[in-house]
Parts: sequence; C-alpha cells; structure tokens
Amino acid sequence: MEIDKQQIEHLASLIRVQLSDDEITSLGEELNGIVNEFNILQEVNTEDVEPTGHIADLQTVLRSDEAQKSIDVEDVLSNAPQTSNEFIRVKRVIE
Amino acid sequence: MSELWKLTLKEASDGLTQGLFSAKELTESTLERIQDVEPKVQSFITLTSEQALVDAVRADERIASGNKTPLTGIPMQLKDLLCTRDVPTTCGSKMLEQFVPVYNATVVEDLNQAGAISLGKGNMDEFAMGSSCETSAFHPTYNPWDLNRVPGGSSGGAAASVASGQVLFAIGSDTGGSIRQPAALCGVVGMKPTYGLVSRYGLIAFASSLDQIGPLTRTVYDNAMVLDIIAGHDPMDATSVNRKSESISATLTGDIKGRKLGVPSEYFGNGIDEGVKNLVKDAIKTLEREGAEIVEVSLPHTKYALSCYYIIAPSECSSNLARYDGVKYGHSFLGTDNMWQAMENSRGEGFGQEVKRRMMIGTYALSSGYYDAYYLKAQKVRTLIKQEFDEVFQQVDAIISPTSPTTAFEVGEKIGDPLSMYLSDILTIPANMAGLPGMSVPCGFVDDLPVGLQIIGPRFSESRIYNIGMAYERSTDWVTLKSAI
Repeated sequence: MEIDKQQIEHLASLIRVQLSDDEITSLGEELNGIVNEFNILQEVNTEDVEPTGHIADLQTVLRSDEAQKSIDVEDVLSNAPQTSNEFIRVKRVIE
Repeated sequence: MSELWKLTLKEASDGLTQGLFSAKELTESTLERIQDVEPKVQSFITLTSEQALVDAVRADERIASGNKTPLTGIPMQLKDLLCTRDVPTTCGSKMLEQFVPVYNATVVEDLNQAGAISLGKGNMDEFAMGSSCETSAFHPTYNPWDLNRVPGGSSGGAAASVASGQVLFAIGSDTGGSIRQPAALCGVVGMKPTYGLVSRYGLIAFASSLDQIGPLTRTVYDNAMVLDIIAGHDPMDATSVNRKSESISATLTGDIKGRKLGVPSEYFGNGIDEGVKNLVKDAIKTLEREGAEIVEVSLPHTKYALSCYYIIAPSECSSNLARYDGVKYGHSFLGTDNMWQAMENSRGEGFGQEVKRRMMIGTYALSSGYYDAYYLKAQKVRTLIKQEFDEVFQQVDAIISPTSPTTAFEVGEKIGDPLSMYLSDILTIPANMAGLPGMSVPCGFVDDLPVGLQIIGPRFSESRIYNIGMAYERSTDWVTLKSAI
C-alpha cells in the first residue's frame, strides 16, 4: 500500500521532526521503496512462532534499595541549552 | 627506534615490557603518522594529542613501577559514540556536536584503567546508521587502500585508523555489521562479540537489542588482547551477562584440527561479487588444510534477515532517539517560545537524512494498523533466524562466509540509494539478529582492495572463533601487507 504525503506528514509529527517540502517528497519515495521490500516477510509462515524482542536471557536485575551517589547537579546542567539556578529551563508547557 | 607505529599491538606491548622503547616514543610515533596520513584518511572527529602525551608519560611511570597490563601505553581510537568524560562525543551528528559527557562509558573506563592511550574519537555514520561513513555530519572517511573509496561503516573511522597505522587498535560498535563490514573493506580484523559480553553502558544507543561493542585490530591475537580487557559483567548494563570471564588471548593456540566448519550456500548466492566468493572459497580450502572438516549447511531464512533488520533496528531507534528533545542536552532551537515548535525544529535541524529516514520507517512499522504486519512479523521471523542458527550449531562448530558482498565502493556511489546501501550488510545482519559473535579476518584482495572472511560461532564462542581466525592468519601473509598509503 502506498504511503502518501499526508501519512509522511503524520509520521513526521509523531517523531516531532520538522521536515522541509523537499524532505517530505524524497522521504515519501524512499519509504515506499523500502517498505515494499518488507513484503517479502509475508512469504514466511510464522504461525505458532513466538516473537523475539531480545536475544539475551534477560532476568530482572535487583539491587538493595540504598541511596548511591549520582551525577553532580553541576555536571547534569553542563550540557543543558538553557538553565536557571540549578534547574534546566524549559519552554512554557501549560498555556 | 623509528616507525614504531608499524608494530602490532602484541609486538608493541612486548617491546614496552622489555624496555625497548617508551610509551611516549610509541605515542609520538603514532602522532607523527597521524600528521602524515590523517589529512587524507580523515578517520578522526576529535584528536586528543596533548592529553595522549600526558597519558603516555603516566603509562611509562606505571611500566617502570611494574604494574603494566597488556594494553598499558598502547595508542587507540574510540568510536565517537562512546562517552568520554570531558571529551566531546558527537555520535557523528550535529545533534550532539556540542555534547561533552560527564562520565565515561564502561569500556572507556576499563581501557583507561588498563593504561591504554586514547588519541581521539573515531568518525562514524550518524548515530551508527550507515555502511560507508558518509552519513557523518562532519566529513567522510576515506579508505586507506584507495582514497576514492569508502572505508565501510558505521565504524569506518575505526577501521581506517587501524588500516593506516594511526593507532594500534580501535573500538567500534556493531548493530548490523558496523564493525565487521568496515574491517573487511579496510583489511583489518574486526570482532563483534556475543550480545551481552561487553557492557553497553555509555554507548549512545541505536538499536538496543542488537548493539554490541568490539575491537578492530591488525591481527587476530591483538583483537583477543583487547577483548580480554573490555569483556565482563557490568551492573550498569542490565543486559550484560554475568559469567566468569577468563583470558581468551592466553589460551589461543590456532589449533583447529577436527573443527567442523559450516559453509552456508545462502551466503554465496546472487549479489555476492565473484572475486569475493572465490577468495573466501580459497580461504575455506586453507582452513581444511589446517585440519578443519568442511560441512555444507543451509540457513534458508537468511534472505529474510535484511528486511527483518530494517524493521526492528529502525523501530528501536525511533524510540531511542526520542530523548533528543533539545531540552536536556544536544542541539536546541532557541528561536521560538512554543515548546513543540522548538522540539520539532531542534530535531529537524539536528538530525541528518538517514536518521530521519530510519525514525520514519520505525515509527511506521510500530504504528497502529501496521504493527502486526511489520514489527510483530519481523520479531517472529527473528525467532526463526535464531532457531535456524541453533540447529546448524548442532552440526558444526562455526560458520564461514564472506563478510561483505563487495569490496569497498566509491565515495558517492551508494549514498543516494538507501536500498543499495542497506544491501552492504546482508551477510553480517543475521549474527546480530541471533546475538551471535562474528569476526571478519582479511583474506586477500580483489583489484587491490581487501576482502574479509567472516567467522560466526554460537554464543560465547569467541575463543573458538579467534582460534579459527588465527589458524587462517598464520597460514597466509595478508597481515604483513600494509596499506598502500
């Protein structure tokens, strides 16, 4: 199924990326080509096959609930674009 | 002693132990080499020469006091997605151009503790998404064997720096072939260890169920020496495996008598260059002469691995890269008071084309209405790929194949056509899907360009893979050939 311009714009809004008109056009063409390749997977019989999300034999890792030293506030703020006292400054969230 | 940069890691380490030269002399030699060739190769994003000389003096003091490790005083390059305290870590992206980590990745910490000397951060495809090093936001890297060609990717800087003698080893990462493919294209040894063997703490994430850190070196033995230092359990990475780790390099013999090696016909099919196929077939004969038994095997789901990967990896990346919002760190668009507009502009300006493309694919595959047909389907096919490997490893000890379908391609040749670029990883992706260790070892040249032999083994069979690689390396002289540059 064809991914149209409207869908590209919708996807861009989901990933919160501003795209130029040129990018919308080129990404549309590219995505259609790529997604088309994915249809090969429909050949595979996956009835009764469990999905694999992760290859490692994952176990829940627990540790005792003790306070540990974390990164210093000064260090945390050192990469923030805008700060105010010991806080990261953000845009207004509630209008 | 001149031209110390030509030494292998093992030779340099032995020379330092014997006092034949100092870590400072070794570091100076590699820095001179960098001055000579780096303007042409461009394998670094950040050079830390001054700090390297300070660290070299400290390494010499340590050697004098008798506390040397095998890596003390050895110059290295770190891929620029490994967090390095106080040293910029860009991930090859404009998004992180100004980012200076406040902590070290666990592997960086391990290497620092061992006394290895970082000469700087290696160029890479943006957020490790690419197979040519051309999606780097800063500059491409050029293949030392032919400067008109790509070094492969995404760890292209790592492979090119080792191949051109600028460092004695480099650390890369591999999500779908990003260590092995550039290693093959640059004629060096590259190991992607078993998923979970090396801590990913401080590795900037691309696709978390696939990413794994590993070494690139000139020889197989050198590679094992580095893995010995960086492998091991880390409480900071919940997927890091807690198992007794023993020195691999100390046990290597290169003896492969009686080893059963599987050759899957699917890895020699359409799209694989004839010259590459022929060299790998020659290599298989060499391994047979060394005492291995060659068995034909079949991995019929191989042809689905590429599509499977290009659903799963972008899906994971679309989630992982959500953190770059321009608020806490990273590129920030300050020209508006609107929160969403600021975020969309920050991300629109900060990310390059390939990253946007993959986030879009992943979000599409995960979105309602398509989730079952794409993401869930891919996860199920992933199960079949893994099971198929498990079954083959009941019959054979390891699998032998080419690493890359072609030799290094020209700069600009594939960058405009994502699908043809994606095909570069067709032979390396299956090992990531199944969490298996895989190594690329140089096995000759087609038209003066290096070709890599891939060895894939069951989980935690690194020692066996190194032995096979060593047996092959010993019976050929590829390792003694230096790059033309």
